[in-house]
Amino acid sequence: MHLSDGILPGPVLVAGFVSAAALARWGVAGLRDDETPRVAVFTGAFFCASLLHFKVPPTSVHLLFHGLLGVVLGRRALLALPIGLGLQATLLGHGGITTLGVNATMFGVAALAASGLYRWLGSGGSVRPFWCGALAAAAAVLISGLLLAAMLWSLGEGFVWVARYALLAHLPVLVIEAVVTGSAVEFLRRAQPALLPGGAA
Amino acid sequence: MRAEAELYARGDSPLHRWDARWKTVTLAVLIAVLVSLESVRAALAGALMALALLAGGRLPAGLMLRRLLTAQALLFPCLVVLPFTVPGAPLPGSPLPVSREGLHLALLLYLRALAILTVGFAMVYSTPMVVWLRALQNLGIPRRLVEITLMTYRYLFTLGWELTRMRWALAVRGFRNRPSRAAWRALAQVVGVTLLRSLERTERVRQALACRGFQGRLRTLHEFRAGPPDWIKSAVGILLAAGLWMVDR
Repeated sequence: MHLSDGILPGPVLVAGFVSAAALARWGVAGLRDDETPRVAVFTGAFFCASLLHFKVPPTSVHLLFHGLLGVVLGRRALLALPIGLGLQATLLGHGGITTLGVNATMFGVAALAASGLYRWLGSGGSVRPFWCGALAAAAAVLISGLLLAAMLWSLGEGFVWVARYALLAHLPVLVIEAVVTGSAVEFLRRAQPALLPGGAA
Repeated sequence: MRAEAELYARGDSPLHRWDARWKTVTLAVLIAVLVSLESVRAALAGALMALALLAGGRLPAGLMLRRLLTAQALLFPCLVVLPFTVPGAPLPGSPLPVSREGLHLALLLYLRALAILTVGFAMVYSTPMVVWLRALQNLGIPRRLVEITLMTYRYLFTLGWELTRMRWALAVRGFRNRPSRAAWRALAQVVGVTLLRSLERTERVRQALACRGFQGRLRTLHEFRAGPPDWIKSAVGILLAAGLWMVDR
């Protein structure tokens, strides 16, 4: 879930932009010129995937796919996220322009954690690909959800309920995101292992 | 998904003719002021100012209202809850335990969000993306980031169309979007196939770019030119933003 415009105070927004810029700087380090199309096309693919609806009665949810993004792109996810979120904010009005930095930081940290967890789980070879992907995605949703709730929490007493509601709303997303990411990882492992870290062999 | 913003960004109005660099800086200053507003009075003035700006772009009103409404959807739960949860003096004569401070805060948040979103839409719907990104690059956003964004934007619609076709293929084969493990698995495979095809497409894009002499730098023919009308618009914009800030103090 994103933070939208108008809620957070200015200093937090500025801090968000600063941290997102620092993360993107780290994400861009060592990027070769011929790697540009790869990052761009994957960013577009994730942008489109996040438009898919998943039914959760009584409504439907969009998934974030920042877990899968972290798994597939690794450090480059820090580059893909601000771009994808920026395009989402400008083209669709999801999220917000002023909260772009905060959102990119939140999802960026979560994607990095997912990437690390996936590598760690996958390195032993004893955990099935489905569970590697599912746990990585669950961790990503949990981390970004907790960061979001913490930020709302810090706004004052009136926002405590909003923070709780936001955290609660993450639970169905967490389950679906885990199942979907797990299945996608399982599929990719069979169809094109080169896309996943440690799978090129 | 359609390149709807792009469609309207090529229109003609005082807002469209404003040089993208000057427009970006001015509207960024305006948004910075809007973010920091603390009084409902100033936020209301800001929202009206933003709506006037959008009206100056001669964009279709119905479409803009729909966009604003969807963009604010995330905010609504917040607005409903806040009057009840913010501690403060209860509103006299109200049957519900609503606090005056809570209502005030909810109203402030709503107006602030409305103003910021409207200014954002005024920017997006009056500048072609390519021109805007180049303007951002001129203003100091790294070239790398701008170029990846441009390329992402280029392939977004291709990929979106591919995804639409895949959804048709699913529908033809009797797929129903139900909350079940099987449906999620099928959609997960759609995502997987999208990524797979992206990988193949990446290779083709890289080759096509190499054939056309791409050496890691995208070029455009757009040249920025700013004249007195741009300066006047920006001066007025900055003055209005300063006025808002004064009203808020």
